[in-house]
Amino acid sequence: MADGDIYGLRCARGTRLPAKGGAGVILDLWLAPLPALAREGWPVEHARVLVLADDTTHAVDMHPGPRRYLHRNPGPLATLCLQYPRDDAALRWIPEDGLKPLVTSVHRHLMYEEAWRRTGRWPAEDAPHGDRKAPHRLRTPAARQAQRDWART
Amino acid sequence: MPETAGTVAGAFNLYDDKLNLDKSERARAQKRHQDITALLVASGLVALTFLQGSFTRKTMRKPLKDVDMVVVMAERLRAELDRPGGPAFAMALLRDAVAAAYPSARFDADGPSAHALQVTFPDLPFTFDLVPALAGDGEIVHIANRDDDRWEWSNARTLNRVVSERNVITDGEWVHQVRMGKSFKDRYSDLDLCGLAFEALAHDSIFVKRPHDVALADLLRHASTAVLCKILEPTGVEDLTEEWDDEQRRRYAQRFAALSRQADEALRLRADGSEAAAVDVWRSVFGDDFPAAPPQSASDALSALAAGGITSTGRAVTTPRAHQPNRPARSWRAR
Repeated sequence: MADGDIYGLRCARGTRLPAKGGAGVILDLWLAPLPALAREGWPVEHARVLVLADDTTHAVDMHPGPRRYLHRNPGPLATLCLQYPRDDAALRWIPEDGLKPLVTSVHRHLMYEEAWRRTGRWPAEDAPHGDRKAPHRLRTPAARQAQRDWART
Repeated sequence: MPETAGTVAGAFNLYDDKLNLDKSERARAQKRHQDITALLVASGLVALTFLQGSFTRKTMRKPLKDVDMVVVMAERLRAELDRPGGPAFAMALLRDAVAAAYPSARFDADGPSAHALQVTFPDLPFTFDLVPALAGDGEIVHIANRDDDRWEWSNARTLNRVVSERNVITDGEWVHQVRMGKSFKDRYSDLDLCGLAFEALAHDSIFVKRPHDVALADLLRHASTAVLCKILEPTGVEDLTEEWDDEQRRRYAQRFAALSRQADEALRLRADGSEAAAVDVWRSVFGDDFPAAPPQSASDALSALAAGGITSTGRAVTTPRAHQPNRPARSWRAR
């Protein structure tokens, strides 16, 4: 990630995981809110992204105190649920996209969580919690349009 | 509070106004030029005068600091001036003639320079630099150098003409765009190119009438590689980079390349209808003297974050052609 590549990235620190534990990288990222949100006092977020050798990724909010979340998995890792894995690839980050879009997605998610904490509303269409036999369908015309616009060819 | 503009064209027009010389000041400079010319011609010392430099090429940004005036000496004085001590003697003749008409004028207040007799008039906030010259062939003159005691070849009149022709072809927009290009010198201390180098870069990249943003983007794109090679001033005679070293060239190239990427982003944003976002990016390129875009509200930012992009200035937009594409996704939770 070159300087200025990702808006709001104040600082990034990488740590290589030992190979015997399943090689990978831990990235600590400090992300400032967009100016429109900074003007209203939104905080700088500290996220940790774990990228494993098999391209599996996990993102965690490193906020030190208690916080409410709408889209965070329960459990000790408490990973952020950035995307619905059964959505069309148009609506998902995939490893081929690379690191910059992944960080963008994490950053957006953290801003959306803050929006939800402040307003009680998630700013874009989200998927219902849990899963079932049939995938959760897109509900809004905007999401369906986005799927067409961002189709991977 | 900074000025705001909601459109790119509006923002550039406001910025242009900030760079333009004050009209009344320009008129005062032209009037004093005419008065000095009349005085010197009447004295019999001088055949004609013409202006040179960025003031007369209209590429000078405000404030007006000095007016460069070439004074072609009378032919009858040629033999006397073309001898050792001639250049300094020409300046002394001009000094005496001007002092007689303007007793309160001061001369070479900033110290003597090689080519020009500097005249400070107490009623003007800018100085006049009188450059004695001997007529040459056609547009060529030979200007005084009192330090080296010689007359030097100069094609300043050709440069005036070439620049004027380009300006006419672009319907008068070119000089405005050059002034905008020169303003990078104030914004970025590492861009310490001479003003004429910016004119040369603009001359080699802006050929027809273009909107200001398109022209400036063209200039920056061209500059990002041109600084690695020779840059000839607009008459094609002198290489303005002759004394640059490799480190300087690399530094200029990096800066221009970074600005060029932002300029191209701004063009894409405008093309996709995100005018305010484009103004934002141009402000980041030009600095705080450039008008600001109306600020984005938090709710608009969150709404645009759903899908599109994030600009290099941190504005969420619905076009993915911003600096940072932002793919839509549905957040979820396993249970």
